[in-house]
Amino acid sequence: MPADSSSISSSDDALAERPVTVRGMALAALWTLLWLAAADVAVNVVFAWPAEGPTRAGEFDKYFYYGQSAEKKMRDMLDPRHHPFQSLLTTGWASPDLASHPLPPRAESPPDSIRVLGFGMSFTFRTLHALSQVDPHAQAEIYGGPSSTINHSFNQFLAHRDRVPEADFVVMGILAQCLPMIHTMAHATWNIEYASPHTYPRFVLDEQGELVREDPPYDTLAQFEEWINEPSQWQQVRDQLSARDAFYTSWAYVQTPLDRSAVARLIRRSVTQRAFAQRTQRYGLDGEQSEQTRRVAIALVRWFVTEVRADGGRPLILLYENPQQDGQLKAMFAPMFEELDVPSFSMTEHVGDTDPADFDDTGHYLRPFDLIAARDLLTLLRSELQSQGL
Amino acid sequence: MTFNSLAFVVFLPCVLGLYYLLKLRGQNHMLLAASYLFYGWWDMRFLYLIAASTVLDFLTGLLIGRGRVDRRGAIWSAGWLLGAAVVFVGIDWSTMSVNGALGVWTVAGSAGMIVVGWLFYPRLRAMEEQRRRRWCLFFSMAGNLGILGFFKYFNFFADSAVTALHSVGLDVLAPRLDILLPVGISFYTFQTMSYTIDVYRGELEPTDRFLDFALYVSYFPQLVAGPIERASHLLPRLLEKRTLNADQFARGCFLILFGLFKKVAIADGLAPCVDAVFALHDPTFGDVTLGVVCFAFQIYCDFSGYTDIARGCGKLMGIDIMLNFNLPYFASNPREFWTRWHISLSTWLRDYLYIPLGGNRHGNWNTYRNLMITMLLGGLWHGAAWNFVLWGFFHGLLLCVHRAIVPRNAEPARGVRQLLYMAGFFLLTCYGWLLFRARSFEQIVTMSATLLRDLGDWTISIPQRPAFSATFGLSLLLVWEAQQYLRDQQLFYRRIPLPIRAWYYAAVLFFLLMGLTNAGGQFIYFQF
Repeated sequence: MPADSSSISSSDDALAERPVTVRGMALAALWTLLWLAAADVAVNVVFAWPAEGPTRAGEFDKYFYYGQSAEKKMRDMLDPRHHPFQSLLTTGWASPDLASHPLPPRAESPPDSIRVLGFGMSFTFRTLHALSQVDPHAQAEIYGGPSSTINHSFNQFLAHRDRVPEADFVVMGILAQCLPMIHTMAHATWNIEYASPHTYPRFVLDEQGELVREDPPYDTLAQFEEWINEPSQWQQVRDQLSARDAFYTSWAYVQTPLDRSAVARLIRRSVTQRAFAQRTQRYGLDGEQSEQTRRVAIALVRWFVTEVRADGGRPLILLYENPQQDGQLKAMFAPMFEELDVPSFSMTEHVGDTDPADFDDTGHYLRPFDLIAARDLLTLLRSELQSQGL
Repeated sequence: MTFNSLAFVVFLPCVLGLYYLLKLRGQNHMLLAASYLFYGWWDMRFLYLIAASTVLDFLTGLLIGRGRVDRRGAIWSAGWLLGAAVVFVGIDWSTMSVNGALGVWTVAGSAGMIVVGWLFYPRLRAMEEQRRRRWCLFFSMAGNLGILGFFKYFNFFADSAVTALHSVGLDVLAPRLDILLPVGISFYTFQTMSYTIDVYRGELEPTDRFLDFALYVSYFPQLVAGPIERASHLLPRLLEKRTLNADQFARGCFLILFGLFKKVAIADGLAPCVDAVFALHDPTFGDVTLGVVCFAFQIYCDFSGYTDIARGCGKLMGIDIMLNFNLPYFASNPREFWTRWHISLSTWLRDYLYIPLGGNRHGNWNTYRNLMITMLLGGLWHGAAWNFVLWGFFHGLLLCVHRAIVPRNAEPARGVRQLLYMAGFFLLTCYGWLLFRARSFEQIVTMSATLLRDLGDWTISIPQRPAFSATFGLSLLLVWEAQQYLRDQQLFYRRIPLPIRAWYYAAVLFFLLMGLTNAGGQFIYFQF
């Protein structure tokens, strides 16, 4: 080691013993590209997506797979070898047979049981499932999908409203993080890392302030399976998403030969993340399109409440705020909740959101916090029933 | 505009394209416009502060060095100040109307300053030389430190005073300014101050070329996060014809690539882990250790990455910007650390604060006092918060203790002993970073207590881990820097056969691409 390291010159120009020439630069660039190409091939060989599917995939396999186009991922799901992908393939559709823990007939439930019909995303699933762990007499039948948006949940409600009479409460979970995606109609247009092919209608406000439904290009798994391999039909799907889904980018969605390149996948993933972050910001509650998001969200939840009551049910809204945003979601809906006298439950008010140690590596609350929230939610449900003399 | 933004990806080639087409004067004028655009990208209004600082030091420099300002310089200065007031603050460009009371007051205030300057100029000229020089130096220091104090430290000192008064039972309301901190204000004010001081000391001839001086103050690569360039180093390079060769171009490209790699792949890849640890309510020993070590590399890669990009941009224009980091974590004692970390600030503090205070010339106790004052103010320079003062105090203490226990002419440690010293001093540096990064005094106490009480509890309670790009990138960086250290050469790699060197370039590029998926944030030192 040097005797006195501080003697290293503060200007390194004096140390340039071998000046670089233009030819040298060109050669260095060429060699660098060659090594990069070799790294691309090596990554594809060493971290190849296993034929057995994601259950056999290691951390690095997944890491380098994430940048695949949404179409490539959805096509992979249809590959029979990728059986474990079936959960992503089948989730989120508005099909009547996908209930998680269907409610048993009322006659088979204890008289003091609390029966909940829920619509939402994983957070909702976890909170409502925890109800039965806190109180064995509580039961929940839940429909939803990954990161379910309000329009997705509302569509699930429309598909399963025949179940309303079976429940004491009809719950919709709203995740602040997914609020901007209320302007989408397909999960795969905005969740590139875990693209799922399911779709749902988008709702927009017309000039009179009335919600207008825009249906997605396909809305069943069967249609999807049929059309994705039918180029002209699938092009229509892309065109429709491009025209009507605010988060669609052909760069992230369309399968190209670049899907085979590890380097291109890394670039796609980062560019897509940044593009989505910009759109999320634009349509978020602090973005330039925030008013549009607010109005559609409030109108949809209002519609949900009205329809649940029309079916004889009791609506309740579960709110999951963005960390450290001081109840922005609740503040947005509060006037409407008050006007319609709708009970709501904000997760962050009961378990907080400032300590990272409270969350797991998927971003969900740790189990004990779900149980705390479920206990408090049960208290709220019971008091609601008592206030109605039940 | 930040170096890691898409806007800069477009900005830099455009600037370079124009730069290569123009001759010297045109290059400087274009660079000045580009620098103002670069800075105004955040908030155009703060360009007025840069313009005001430029005018102040241009005029005081001339008055100190030559005793007069010629008509051309006076017109440029007055026009620049008034123009900046009108264009950057006076007009609300989104509505094409007057920008409220702020705009009116800024324009009126600037006009007032020009009138006052015009009235006082004959009196200044008539003064005895030494007196005039002192007054001008005072105006420059008061103006620059006034801007810095008002925008950066007003709320801090007001809050601290109120807290102190509360503690003695006096209940007063804190006056608070609802203002943004101008990006990079500490860097450019120190840079302009060094010009005036150097002119005052007779170490530098003042320039009468206003636009070139304005470019020295605002040169975009190092404007917002340094290095804090001395006029004696940068100004001549801006005034002389520059030549660009393939060697500089290659070095510039490499520095930009390497700087982006440090920032994007490593610093941004470590950030979520650090943020999570410092948000924990009840961290374990393992959490604190992980968070602090990650922060040590995050801040190093963030700040030195910025400097690398700045130096790279400079090289692409044939302008050499000074080295700001020289393998700081290979230091084995505090004195060596401060010759390697943020060199432009540490030498600034040495030359303009420590030595004028007396340096080491008046015995041990005065030396310790001077060291402590220098480091405390150096800490405060980083931010208006007590934890930065504490960080400065900690490093001042290390310097004093090292000075007290290690004889000046002691032989440097070698071999295993040097490695042990390096490791030991790295741990001390890391504890310093805990003080630096903590969000409150309570957090410093909690984390310090955890380190002492739960020693050896390696439980990690956060789900966040350093990104792959950071883990692999850091390994690559450490190997690289170890080579630089052992061979005592920044450019050691030029001796390596091309295919192996290119492998390294490709690895850096690959990890940079991996790092692009990290959520990119601003450079940490922007806030200083």
